[in-house]
Order: sequence, then C-alpha cells, then structure tokens
Amino acid sequence: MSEHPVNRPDRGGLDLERELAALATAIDWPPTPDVAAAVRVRLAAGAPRPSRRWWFAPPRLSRPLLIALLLLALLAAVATAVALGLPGLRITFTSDPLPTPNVPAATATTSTGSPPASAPAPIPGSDLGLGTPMALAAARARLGVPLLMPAVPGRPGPDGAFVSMVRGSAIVTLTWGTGPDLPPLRAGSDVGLLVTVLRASVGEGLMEKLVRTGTTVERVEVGGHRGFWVSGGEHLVWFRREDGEVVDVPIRLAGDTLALEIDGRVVRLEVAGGREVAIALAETIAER
Amino acid sequence: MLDLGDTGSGAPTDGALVERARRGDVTAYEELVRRHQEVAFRTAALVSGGAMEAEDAVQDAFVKAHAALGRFRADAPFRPWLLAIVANEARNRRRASGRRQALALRFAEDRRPGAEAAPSPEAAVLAHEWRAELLAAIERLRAEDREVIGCRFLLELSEAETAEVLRCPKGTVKSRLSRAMDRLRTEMGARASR
Repeated sequence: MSEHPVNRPDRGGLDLERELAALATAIDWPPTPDVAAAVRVRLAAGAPRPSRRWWFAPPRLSRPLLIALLLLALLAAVATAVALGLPGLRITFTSDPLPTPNVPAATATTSTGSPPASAPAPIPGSDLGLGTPMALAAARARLGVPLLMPAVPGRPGPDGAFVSMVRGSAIVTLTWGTGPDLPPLRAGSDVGLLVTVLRASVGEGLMEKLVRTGTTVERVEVGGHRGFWVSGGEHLVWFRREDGEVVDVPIRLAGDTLALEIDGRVVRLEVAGGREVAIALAETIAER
Repeated sequence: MLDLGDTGSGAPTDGALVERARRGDVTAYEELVRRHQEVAFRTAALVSGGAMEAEDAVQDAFVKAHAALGRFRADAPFRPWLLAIVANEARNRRRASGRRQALALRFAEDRRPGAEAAPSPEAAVLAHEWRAELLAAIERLRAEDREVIGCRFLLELSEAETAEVLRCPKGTVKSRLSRAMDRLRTEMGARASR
C-alpha cells in the first residue's frame, strides 16, 4: 500500500492533498500501448541477455594507452554511425521532418483527379502520424527504388503520400480516401486503403513472434510473392531491413494487413473487406 | 533473501520472474513488462510530456532494464528500479525534443472519484470545474513541481518510488513536495480570487 501524505487542511480551507488524491482516480490517461509485445520482439531480434557481471571491466592499462584505445574506439563508432546509421535493435517509424523542406506537400484531390476549387481537403490519413506529406513524385524519389502500388478501379492514384525516415531509410505510405468501393478502415477513418512500401524483407521469425491472443498470422503467396496475412486486430509489423536491422512500422489502425515481399521491397496493404479483397488488390500491385 | 515463491494468489513474484528472466526466460520478462507497463507508460508520459515520446521511452527502458538485470539486486523491489530507468529515458527524450509543454492531462467526465453519492447537477458542474482548474494549475507548475506532485498523487507512487524516479533521496522528496504543494496552493488561491 503506497504511503499517501497525511491529509491536513491548510489555511484557506483548501484540503489540497485530498483533492489531489481524488483527482488521481479521475485522470483519463492516454491508453497504455502493448509494450510487452514490442519488447518481446526486440529481445528476440537480438537484444543481449542480461549479464551477471559488469559489461565493461577496464584492464589495467597505462593511462596513455587507455586514452589511445578509447579514441580508436570512438573513431570506429563514428565511422560506423556515418556509414550505417546508429546501430540499434529497433528502428522507429517516426514523423521527424525530412531534410528537404521545399518539396511541395501533397494535397487531396477528388476522385476525378481535379484539384479542389477552394481550401484543399485534408489528406486521408493525415492524423495517423504517417510522416511528412509530400507529392507522389517526391515520395518516389525518397524511396530510392521504384514505388509499388495497387491499381484501384476508378482512382488515378493515391490521395496522399507520406514519407518517414528511419535511420536513413525511407518508408513511404500511400493513402486512398474512402468511397463506395473503399469503405473506411475503421469507423470514423477517412482512409479506405493504406499501402506502405519500404526496402526490406518480411522477417518470418519476427512475424510469427507477433502472434498474440486474438491475432492470427497466415502465410500467403500472391502473384508468386511470399507474404503474410495478419488478422485479428491492431498489431505491430516488423521487417528486416537490407542491412539486417529490424524495423517496426506501427501504423495505428485496427486493420487486418497483407504484407508481401516483392523484389527487395515490402508492401504492406490495409483495406476493409477481409483477406480476399486485400489479395485481389495485391494482385494488381506494380511499379507505378 | 530472494523470494522465489509466488504471491499467494498463485502468480509468481517479481523476484521469481526476474530470476527466470536472468536465465534467459523471455516469457518471464514479458510477464514483468505486462505487470508494470501501465505505471511505466504513465510515468514516462508525465516526465516526457507526450504520449508518443512515452511509448518510445518505455519500450527502450524495458529493453535496457532487461540488459541490466544482471546488476539488479534480487532482494530489492523491481518497480522503483524500473521506474528510475523509465524516467531517465523519458527525461532524455524530453531534452532531445526540446519539449517544454507538460502532458495535457484530462479527466474522464463520467468517472467520479471516490464513492460519493451522485451530486446535484449544480454540484457536479462545480466539481467538474474545480477539478479542471486544479489540473490546469498543475500543468502550469514548473517541471520539478509537476513531477513530484504527479508521482506522489497522480501516479500514486510511494515515497521510495518517487525518490527513484526523481533521482533524489527520500528526504528531498518530502521537501520538494512540500514546496510544490505551497506553490500549487498559491496558484489555486490566485485563481479563486479572480
């Protein structure tokens, strides 16, 4: 039982301690994310096991030699960081600003492709923390390899493009607004289809470690490309980047997901309607 | 003396889970994370000032805590030790982001604290406004005051846990809390007199 400070009325009759104690039970904290699943995946991806000894026990060296060794280690670390990005077990999907601020932001267009007459409509998914919005051409350039996307009947292309940089690698997310053929991914969402593309491979071992109560992972093959169908609710999706780093793409939607590995890129697709709808769309994925 | 038993309800103690995690049992560590992730996340949110930063901070903290289990004193309580790591991560993220604003806390409209009988509509409105003012007053305090009040009252951490989170002796927690409460009373008094 935690020790609360003793209640005592103060001058002016304000029993602040009691009011604060009462307030504690009424706070509407932000919902706690499922940290355990994410930590488990990171540990499985290679976090070091706990050691019973201090990890670094400096040998008895002369001071000049020790300083020289430390400098060498520092130089090596800097060189590695410059070449690969800071090493780490986890690369986070972030929405940090990109270093090219002059790229024009994407604006929503109507389904016929014509720009809005007055103030542009919000880009579908702009409230999901998908990254920096930008024009599709700029997003393509950021990815560094041809962009893959499905063909949606009646739509000339995505309504939104976002890019997030993760340790120097681009994650491109494309969104299509809702419509008669694209119901919202969840109630209240303005996104009917969400496609994420990054240069990575689908980590089989990692995907299977995501399985939690209520979530199922099914291996699929679409158009000759291997992948997974993940269903059952909100989840984290992890991929292994080209350099071996594990990348998590926590799109915060409670959507079933199809993830395919296509020629060195992972395409992750979320659409309402279930597995068959997702597969039908995925069969149209091509470089566009 | 290391307690390797259970809590009496059949669930293993934190100490037992730590020992299993040290031997490489990831499931045991996952259970530890589940037990403490809520208070850890809320602590990180309070210290970092944002839910997004808190999520990253608490994940990193749990991974670092796992790596440091070998240095954890098995007879010590796990939660304060963990929360110290969480708070450190959250503080680092707050400094790195340059964030100055506090976490915008709200209270649930339909959650009435305590076992009070349903008040009259007028009383309910007054109570609602009062609590909103109190929360706003807390958010206006400087970070040091906000943290100690947040830890002791909003997170309901013990004095020992608060000392770990704030990285100060228990005695300092008492004196910091006393000064923070004085400043909060002043703030609330100033609002009341307007």
